[in-house]
Amino acid sequence: MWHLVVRGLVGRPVRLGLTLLGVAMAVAVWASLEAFGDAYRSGMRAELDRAGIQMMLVPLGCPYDAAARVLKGRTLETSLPWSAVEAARRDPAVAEAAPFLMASVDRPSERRTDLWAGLDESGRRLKPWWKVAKGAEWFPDTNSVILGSEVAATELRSAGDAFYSPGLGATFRVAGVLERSGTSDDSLAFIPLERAMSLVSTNRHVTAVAIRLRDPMLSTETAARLQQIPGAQVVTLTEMMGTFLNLVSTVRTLLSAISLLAIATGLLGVLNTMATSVAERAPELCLFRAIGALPRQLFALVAMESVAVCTLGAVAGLAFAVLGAPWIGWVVQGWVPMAPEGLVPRPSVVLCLRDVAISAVSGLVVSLWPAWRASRLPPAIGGRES
Amino acid sequence: MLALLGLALVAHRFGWMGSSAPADGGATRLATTNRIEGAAVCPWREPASDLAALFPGATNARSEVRILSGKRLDLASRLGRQPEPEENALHVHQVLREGRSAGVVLVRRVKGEHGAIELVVGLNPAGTLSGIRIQRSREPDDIAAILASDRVLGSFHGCRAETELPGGEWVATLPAGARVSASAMLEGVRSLLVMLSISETSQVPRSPTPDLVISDHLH
Repeated sequence: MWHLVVRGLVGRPVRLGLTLLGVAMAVAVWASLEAFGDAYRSGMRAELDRAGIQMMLVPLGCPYDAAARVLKGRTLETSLPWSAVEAARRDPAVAEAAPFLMASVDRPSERRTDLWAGLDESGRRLKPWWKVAKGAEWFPDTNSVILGSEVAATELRSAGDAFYSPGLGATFRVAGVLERSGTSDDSLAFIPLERAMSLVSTNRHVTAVAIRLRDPMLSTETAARLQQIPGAQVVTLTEMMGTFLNLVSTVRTLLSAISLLAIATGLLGVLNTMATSVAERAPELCLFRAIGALPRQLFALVAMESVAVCTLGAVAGLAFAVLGAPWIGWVVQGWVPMAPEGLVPRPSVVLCLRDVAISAVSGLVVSLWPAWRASRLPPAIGGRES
Repeated sequence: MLALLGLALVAHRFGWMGSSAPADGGATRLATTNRIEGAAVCPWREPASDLAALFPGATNARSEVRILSGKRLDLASRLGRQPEPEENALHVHQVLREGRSAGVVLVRRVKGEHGAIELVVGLNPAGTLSGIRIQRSREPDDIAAILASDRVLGSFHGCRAETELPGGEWVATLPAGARVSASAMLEGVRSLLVMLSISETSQVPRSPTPDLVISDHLH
């Protein structure tokens, strides 16, 4: 039987190739979308877990935009007064309230933007990945700078070197260089918070306050209390993740509709191919009947051909989705808001097996009508035509 | 079944089915080897304006990579030091004017006193240094002005080989604040001339197809 199935398929290679391509493309889109959703969710969760914080105090405005910008090492147009830091630190449920001051200093003549981050000891405690590759772990004096690995590599700096900021008009001494963390910290230059405030903030303002709670279960009550601080608003990272996931979920739903359309088109292609194949091979099938083949055997032959086409198409599509995952991830990073670092939407084994199984079952379903027609062919027609 | 078997093999190849090797096997083996840290390749940031300044009338430029790892002994001998990891390859930008070679551009990042200094060095077809531009620098304004002045950049003009470059005594004539960075620039240019000279021997492998840096007809 398998021999007949293979012969039936390879007998018309162009038609087989086009049908396989249709199924493969549909499955590739479908699998990539599924994998993207999973990768985005787990990547986002990993980034937030790694941040080691439960909520952020940000200036009034869009809280999600503000929190995301701070997490990604970008600046805000508004700022928080120092009194907000003090108020957060006074709250009994707050274990750590770490103020951050982010500043981007442009140098248009060189098309360069330096990203500076001011932080104090509390900020370092909220960065578990803070590891120094060379030099000191912390600022020995207010004139020190600790460089992210990318900055140090680009500026050829190591511990003890001078580091001048043309935009700030200040010279720092490199105290240390951080190990590569894979986060936005790699592109930042860290200076003591007090020094940062004296350089870029006229009235002791900070960009945001990252907060770790004594007990994460106290999140709701603490957020309600901190919300009362004038000029500030609270965004919990759970809320933030939920918002991003909702946004991505909406996009995914739209794209899923397109991929369903592609799958339906692919399956209709298979149906058409099998129906045409049965019509073309009617004499051959009738001959099978004449030499003793049962109707159910012809039914099975056509059904197996259809299942084989759908399964092979699914495997080809999944191979494309797997091999193209880094490229798809790179493209997606460009248009998805705040996409986690290193997003690679590679379908998992479970997802691949599921997609192959669904494709095979779909192949069986769309083969029912052509297979039924094949099983109804009388032996006599074959005799007449031959 | 065959399809499923194929899928399983692909999955195994990409390591999604859990590896039979110890989880830290590869990492442990790698951790015993010191990582070779090389400086990132310095990009040529403003080719259009550099070509307009260094090679007026240039119509386009093409980039090729010359592999010098097989010439490390020659490099060490002429540089007077062990070559840095990034000196295993030289990116040469061939400048064309109406289809004919107008010279080459070399780009190098050197360690200035206050941060990296990125140099764009132009050489004419005879191999003579025809001009230098500083594409990025972190030096304070007064020092940056000295480094960009004709007193510094002009000193390199017309040099053909590393032996023709000004020496340490020239650096000593500069204001104290500019000496470290000027010295780094001098060493950077010297290294480039040595690398270019060695790369022009026939045994040096080159990238097969030069990449277009600037599209045709700049002007």
